[in-house]
Amino acid sequence: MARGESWFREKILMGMDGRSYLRSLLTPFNLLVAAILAVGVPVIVYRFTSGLAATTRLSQVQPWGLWIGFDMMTGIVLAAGGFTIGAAVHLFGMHEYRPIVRPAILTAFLGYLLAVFGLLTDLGKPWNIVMAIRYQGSASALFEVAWCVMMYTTVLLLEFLLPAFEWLGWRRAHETLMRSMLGLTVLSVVFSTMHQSALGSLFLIAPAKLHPLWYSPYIFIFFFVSAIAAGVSMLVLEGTLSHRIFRHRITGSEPDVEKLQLGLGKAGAIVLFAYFFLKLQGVAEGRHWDLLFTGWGAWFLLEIVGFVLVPSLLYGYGARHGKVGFVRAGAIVAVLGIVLNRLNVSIIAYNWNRPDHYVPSWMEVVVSLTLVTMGVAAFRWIANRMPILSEDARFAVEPDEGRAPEKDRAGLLSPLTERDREERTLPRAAAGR
Amino acid sequence: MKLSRRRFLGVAGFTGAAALGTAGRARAVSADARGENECAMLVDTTLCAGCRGCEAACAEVNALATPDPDVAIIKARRETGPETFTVVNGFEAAGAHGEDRFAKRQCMHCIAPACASACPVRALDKQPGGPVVYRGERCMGCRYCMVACPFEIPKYQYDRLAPLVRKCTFCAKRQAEGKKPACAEVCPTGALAFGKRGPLLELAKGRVYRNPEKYVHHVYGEHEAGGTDWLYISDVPFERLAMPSVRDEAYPDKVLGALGAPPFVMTLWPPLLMGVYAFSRRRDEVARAAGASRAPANECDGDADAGGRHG
Amino acid sequence: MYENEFLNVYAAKVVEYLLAIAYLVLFVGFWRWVQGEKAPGSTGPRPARRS
Repeated sequence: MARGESWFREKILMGMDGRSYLRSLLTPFNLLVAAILAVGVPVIVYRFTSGLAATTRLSQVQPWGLWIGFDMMTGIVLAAGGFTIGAAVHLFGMHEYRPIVRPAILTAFLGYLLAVFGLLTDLGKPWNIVMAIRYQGSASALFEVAWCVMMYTTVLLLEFLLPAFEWLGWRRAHETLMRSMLGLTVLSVVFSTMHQSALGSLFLIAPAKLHPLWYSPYIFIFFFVSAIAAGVSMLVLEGTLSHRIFRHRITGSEPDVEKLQLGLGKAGAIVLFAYFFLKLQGVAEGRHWDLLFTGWGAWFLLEIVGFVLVPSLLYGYGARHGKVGFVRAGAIVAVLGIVLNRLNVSIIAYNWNRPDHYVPSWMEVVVSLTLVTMGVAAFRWIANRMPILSEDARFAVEPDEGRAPEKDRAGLLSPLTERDREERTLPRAAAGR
Repeated sequence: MKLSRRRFLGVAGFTGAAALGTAGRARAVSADARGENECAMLVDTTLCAGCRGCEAACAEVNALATPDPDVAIIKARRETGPETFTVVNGFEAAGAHGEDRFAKRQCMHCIAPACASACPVRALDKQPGGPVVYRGERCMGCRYCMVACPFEIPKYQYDRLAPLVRKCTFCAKRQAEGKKPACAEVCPTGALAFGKRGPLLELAKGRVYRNPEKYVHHVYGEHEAGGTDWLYISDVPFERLAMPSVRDEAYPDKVLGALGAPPFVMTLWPPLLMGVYAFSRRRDEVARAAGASRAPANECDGDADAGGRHG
Repeated sequence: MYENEFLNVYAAKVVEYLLAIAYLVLFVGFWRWVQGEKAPGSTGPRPARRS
């Protein structure tokens, strides 16, 4: 039992004894989390014991509210950093971005879990979600969303298991998984493309209910392109936050986060610029130029000019002049813009022509906030224990010699660490290590 | 057997015409032809007396609460609800000569229903015979059907812990037993005529053509939402009877284009992405071979020894 | 007898997705075959490096 105890102390309590660990939990951040959960968890329980009428302001004309618009749709789009950076590093060969792949995958994985929990909270009969596997309503965009989210969450789980196996020390499993990474990365792009766009396709069936400036037969393209922009922007924000907060978890040399952010800013500038003009194309295709002069038109222009074109320019300026502050500002504005767009499509510009407008109940807001808080807390828990901010050097393999670099045993640098380490999956690596 | 030229032309002509005919039929563009044999209902609002007997019969057959007996409620512009599958709304002095007019509202049982196409588990499904039926056992309560329906018909039991979607069933069970829907059975004035869609459409058009000054020259439901099984004719514009104006396109078709994308993405993305991968790896190899700074290689990169074991 | 065109979509979707899945399975093998990979061996024009 002693062995199990010491594993628990090392892995879970981060090497502290029980009492010191509990004392270490008393931080302002943790107290805030506890406060939010103290209110939020009972509300979630109440939703399941009392039903939707008691907890939400959904109605017969407004079947979808904050939990679909924010938890599910916004949650999924903001988790797009996983597949974008995964593709950039593993497919496009941009190895310098390697240090931010793992935090991005973790964020994406937790983001999708959040979206799924949010969906389960919103469904009238969540236990019937398995029916989507048994019965195929394949004429439905929601069927496509359901399947691709299921598939992609599985891919994310597998990608997340890489650092998890390093943490557990399971070499064989780790090697097997390493060999699948290329295929998993390709699948992650395939599934992400499909469901990010399908979330937009959901609204194709309701042309009269969504304001014409947001409704377009090409809405699924808008959703996909904005997902890439969201991914890039979230990567910038993450780089700013997690590399600072979890600096103590970085082994080896610290990556030049600012340089990476400038690179991401360049990408963000281009994608947002294209997305801005794509939205204008949507207006052109629908011949809705006159609507730009209405109240809704002003709101639409605010979204695309203030929250798409402006961040594009902030990104561009920052990237061009090497000013990371502009890139970070651009990321904040861009993320707000994506959130605004998803909320516009799902609940604000939806039913735009009805007299009364849906406003979420305080309980809906609390539940959404609680789910986000749980995700952030989970990220912290995992990042503090597993090799997320850095890869575990003991799992790196020297390609030519087929054995782990000796120096890394003591936690010191091997020359390879300074330029991205090559990880190989030679069978010989397992022997004797 | 020698085939005479005449006979050959005759056979070729016949086969060609048959082929063209079949091809034309497979793409049946004519809205009249679609759903011809589906069970349908014709509502002639000029004949409706507003007795609300249909509401009572519907409630009885579906074990719903009895409709509000207050006569005045007919002016209230009610919508259907989770426990009210049909409502008759009254419009005072709306008629051409100042008479009251009444319009029965319920599920339109579209030929290509938006709700059924939207349902990810086919809990709402179109029966070839006509009714759009609901199987609550498989419903997960996503409420996408409510987003989809242009007539705003599906209603949800938000107050229940195991909520269901509720709407008119077109008395599918009664129809299976060869009976008329309950509402048509009790209608005293013949405002509700039950039959096959083709003949009912003919009947509707016949009435309109024979009384062109009386009726509005439009059969509501002929083309709305791509055609519905519930058809209406009226002597006043349908908007005055609070009947929603709905586009003439079939709603499921609006999604078909975007839904065709996934198989294409599944087919096209892998070669594109693997091509990019091969290109970037080759670039790394060239850089490495050139001996410039030692180029970092891909985490997924298989070396000569381990290569080929990807994905 | 006119069939309900809407109901035909389900059968069509089954075919589309089965075809795509079959393709994905075949693609892995096809890619490797084109690249000239036999076993954990050569990848492309480079000679196999074995110790």
